[in-house]
Amino acid sequence: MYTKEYMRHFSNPQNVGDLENPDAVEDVYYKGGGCFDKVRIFIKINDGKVSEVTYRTRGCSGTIAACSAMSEMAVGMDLDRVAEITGDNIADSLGGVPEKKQHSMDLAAEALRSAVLKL
Amino acid sequence: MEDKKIYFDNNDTTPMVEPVFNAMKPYFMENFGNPASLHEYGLEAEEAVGKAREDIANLINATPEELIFTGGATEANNLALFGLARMAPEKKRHIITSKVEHHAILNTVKRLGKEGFKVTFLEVDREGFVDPDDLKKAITPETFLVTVVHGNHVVGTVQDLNALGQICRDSGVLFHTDAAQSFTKVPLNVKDTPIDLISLNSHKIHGPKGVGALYMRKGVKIGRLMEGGPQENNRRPGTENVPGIMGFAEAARIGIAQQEENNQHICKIRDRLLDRLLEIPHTHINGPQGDKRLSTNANITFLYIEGEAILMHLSMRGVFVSSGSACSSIALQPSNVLTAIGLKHEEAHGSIRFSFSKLNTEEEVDIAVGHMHAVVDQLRSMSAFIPEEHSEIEGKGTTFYKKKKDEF
Repeated sequence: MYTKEYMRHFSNPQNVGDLENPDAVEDVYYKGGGCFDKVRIFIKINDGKVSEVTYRTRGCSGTIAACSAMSEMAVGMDLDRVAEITGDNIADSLGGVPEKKQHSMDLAAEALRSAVLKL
Repeated sequence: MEDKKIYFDNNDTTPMVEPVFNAMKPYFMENFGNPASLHEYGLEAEEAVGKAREDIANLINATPEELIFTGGATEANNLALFGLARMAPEKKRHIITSKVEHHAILNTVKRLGKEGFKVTFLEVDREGFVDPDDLKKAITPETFLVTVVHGNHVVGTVQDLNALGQICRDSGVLFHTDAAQSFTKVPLNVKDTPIDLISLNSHKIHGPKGVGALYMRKGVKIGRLMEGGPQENNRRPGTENVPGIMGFAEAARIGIAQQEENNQHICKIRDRLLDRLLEIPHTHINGPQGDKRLSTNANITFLYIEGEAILMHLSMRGVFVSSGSACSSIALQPSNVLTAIGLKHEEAHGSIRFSFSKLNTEEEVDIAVGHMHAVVDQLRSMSAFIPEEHSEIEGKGTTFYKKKKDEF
């Protein structure tokens, strides 16, 4: 049902935790349907590019996998490009996700976008 | 990761046991006859189904004529509710149910609501009990049916059928219960209980899937949902699932014969698990404790983490449970039962149901508890929302709202 990549990120999520002296921190709450997943994202910028992304989450397997994948994707990207990362991009990086987990992909993308907008 | 698999999802379905499988086997290839056929094969099948009907009826102190075999409890619930609604007089258009029903009831009464029936959904208390006084107040001269689940599938609450049924009886209203979870676990005697219809199923008592039954007190009349042959005393057409019925009857016979010893064994397992897991900080039990709870059910909220993530981690470790979190459902809705007993969204979010059968052991509980501690620690270490450990960030953050296709 879930891809190996999804399970890899879920069972061993990358870049979890706080970031010291971040350039932006943002809490993002998902309120579609009855899902109340939350993500706190930390972002650091260097020379117009994302240098570090970390996060904490109270979320389902999809949100954990999506945040982990997102945190790897964003590093090294220009700010204008990073804000354009979509839930579909994150889903693609995980080798696709079932429809019921698309909300997690969208939440991780929104967390990144919200943090960038706070800079 | 782990070789030993621990199945704690028995309120969902149970593994079949060997005597049940053995009881079914002859009816696939040797005694394959259609009970409606007039030759020897047919007569053998008819006799076997008749014996199964008699045995299951006896187990609840009913008569064989009062039992209709169905394709499971969902069909039995649909047959009871739609079947009675079809026969309801024009001035009797009111149905009463509770907010903690299984979807097989909830969605059926909602459909009847769309078809013009008035529906009242009774509130429940924090443990999931319907207050008989609330029922009494809700009954009107238009009420023709009350349906309240016997043993709750999410939080294990066992309703007082006598109290609720007597109110219905005194008011001249039919009373139905969905006993899918309670059959063979809680004594059920239709002679001692003021009840008119009961839905039963097989696969939650170590029997096969796709078979169940509706008990209907003699004299209760229902309309047919499907057209076809005259099977099941003209109330449910279609050739009977003979092997399934054989398995169902054997599972029921075993379940009732072992009721007391099974309950003792399973309660011990359940309470051991509850005691150990409630030692974890920021946890609480959902539903009642003691003998008003199904022996098979434990439901705990683990705050600040999400149920589906817990479930997935446990699954990787070979422990199988279920969750009432929104992320466990395709519709992204938390369990209606958990919200009905007053849980906030974030409490429903972190709920896990552990449900047991006679096949589980105390050793399994100890292994599962060990895994549970590890999983809770792992997920809480990722969470940013434990009040003692994490402060709110400046501002209120972003609320990301995306309308789902099915959210109307």
